[in-house]
Amino acid sequence: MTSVVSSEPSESGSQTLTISVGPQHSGSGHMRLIIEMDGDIIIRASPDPGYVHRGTEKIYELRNIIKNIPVIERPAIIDASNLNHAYIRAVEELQGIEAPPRAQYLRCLLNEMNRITSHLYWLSIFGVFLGHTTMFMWPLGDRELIVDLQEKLTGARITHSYIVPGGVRRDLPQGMKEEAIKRTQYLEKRLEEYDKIFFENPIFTARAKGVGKLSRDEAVKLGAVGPALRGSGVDYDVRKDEPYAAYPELDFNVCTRQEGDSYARSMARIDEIRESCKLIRQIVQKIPSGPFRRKAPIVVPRGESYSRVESARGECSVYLIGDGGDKPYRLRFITGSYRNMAIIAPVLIGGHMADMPTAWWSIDYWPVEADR
Amino acid sequence: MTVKGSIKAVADIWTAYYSGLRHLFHRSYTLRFPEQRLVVEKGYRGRHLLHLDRCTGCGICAWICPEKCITIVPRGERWYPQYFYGRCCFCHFCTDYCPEYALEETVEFDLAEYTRDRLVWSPERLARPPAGKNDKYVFSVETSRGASNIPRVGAKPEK
Repeated sequence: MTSVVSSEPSESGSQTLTISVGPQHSGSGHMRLIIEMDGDIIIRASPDPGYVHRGTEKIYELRNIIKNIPVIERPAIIDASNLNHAYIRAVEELQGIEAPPRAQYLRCLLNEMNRITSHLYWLSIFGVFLGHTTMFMWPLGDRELIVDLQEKLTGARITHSYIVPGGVRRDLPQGMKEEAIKRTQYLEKRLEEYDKIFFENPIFTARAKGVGKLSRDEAVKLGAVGPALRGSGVDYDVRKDEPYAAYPELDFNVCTRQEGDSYARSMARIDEIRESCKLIRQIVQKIPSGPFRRKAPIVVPRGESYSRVESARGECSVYLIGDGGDKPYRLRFITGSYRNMAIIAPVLIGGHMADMPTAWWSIDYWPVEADR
Repeated sequence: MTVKGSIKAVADIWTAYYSGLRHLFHRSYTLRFPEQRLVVEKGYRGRHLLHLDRCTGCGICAWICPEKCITIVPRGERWYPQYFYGRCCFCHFCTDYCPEYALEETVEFDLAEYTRDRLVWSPERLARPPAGKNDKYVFSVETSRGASNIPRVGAKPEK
């Protein structure tokens, strides 16, 4: 952290202190957060993104649609399949093909497993920045159960490259159904223990309740997405509002909380883990038989397409222009974290500096995903 | 804070302590790699196995490789792929796209080397089947205790 004391007194006659949090991950992730304080109160906060910008949108134009898959996954490797799904849906829309029903279910299965692992990863970081080391260890340990399931399904632990145009690369392996049911039930039991040790712990609730308030109107006005929006009481989820893949046939709730503070945003994510566990069990029981992959050409026909999915951090959308070659002419790729950048300042301003980690990490802003 | 509130806070903090302390008697999540390692099942996308007899040297693997880690090198009259594992992202699109099924995924994943040259795998080296590691203790992820030791057939359980 570097700090600058302003030489000129502010309007109220007091001097302010400007602090750079980050970009070398001193609690901000890989980005810089410029915070101006009056005493202990944050009076201005401005995110300074771009530290991990890698120009992926240009890279997508230089590779064919299959070679793009591993690169599409890189911005958020813990939530890889959701980003990949958005891209593949845009490609399929242009090619005019649709994946078989079994593939749609398998895509949803991997997406939900990714949502759980992403939320558990967030929970461990959130825990450690609040000084709760047990909450750092437990979610990462339990995440292993789901990561292991992903490995059984796709052959890779995190960057799966599983969803391809025309379907998915592998079928459901033997024994996966029983294993998925057992592990999700175990995870739900563990979530009750998380509640006891962390979410109902007075030390945590005192630090999170009423901290980093974001009203419903402000969240809508600034275009927040994902659990950060649902924590403010807005019932918006792409899986429900614009259903894709197998979601129209699945039964699940959109988890919202009304308070709009750090606690509400955290609990919206925990509720989502529970819903995802139920969804995984539904998918493995309902999955139809049939082929899991259809032949698809390695070509992007001339035209434009737009697709959006609900990734772990909010709505992720892809706008694709094809010119008839095997590479995209242009691929615009917007992720949930990029949209949530607008709510960083209103969440932090007015709070204490000591509350900054709570409010900041409750947004689950992922700089790599936002900078792309 | 009211008296009732204080009592509830003390009770909640005690519950938090208790639920953490109970886990003192559980097995640890962490494994002592490389003596202990997780079971890696068939289908895991580790390093490649090349079947020299099936490979025609067509170069589709090198064309589809997103990281450009495959070079097609001559061996007498024939051509074979050579991998540079410093770049490989283990997507295994090469295995998927091989028309002759000459490539296969193996469970070998610990490919770290001391020099950069050793990361280049020649066709002959790729054709060698993965050497069986002398795994003393093999573990599997288990729901009852997080990661715990389920001995694989033939492996001794840890005392």
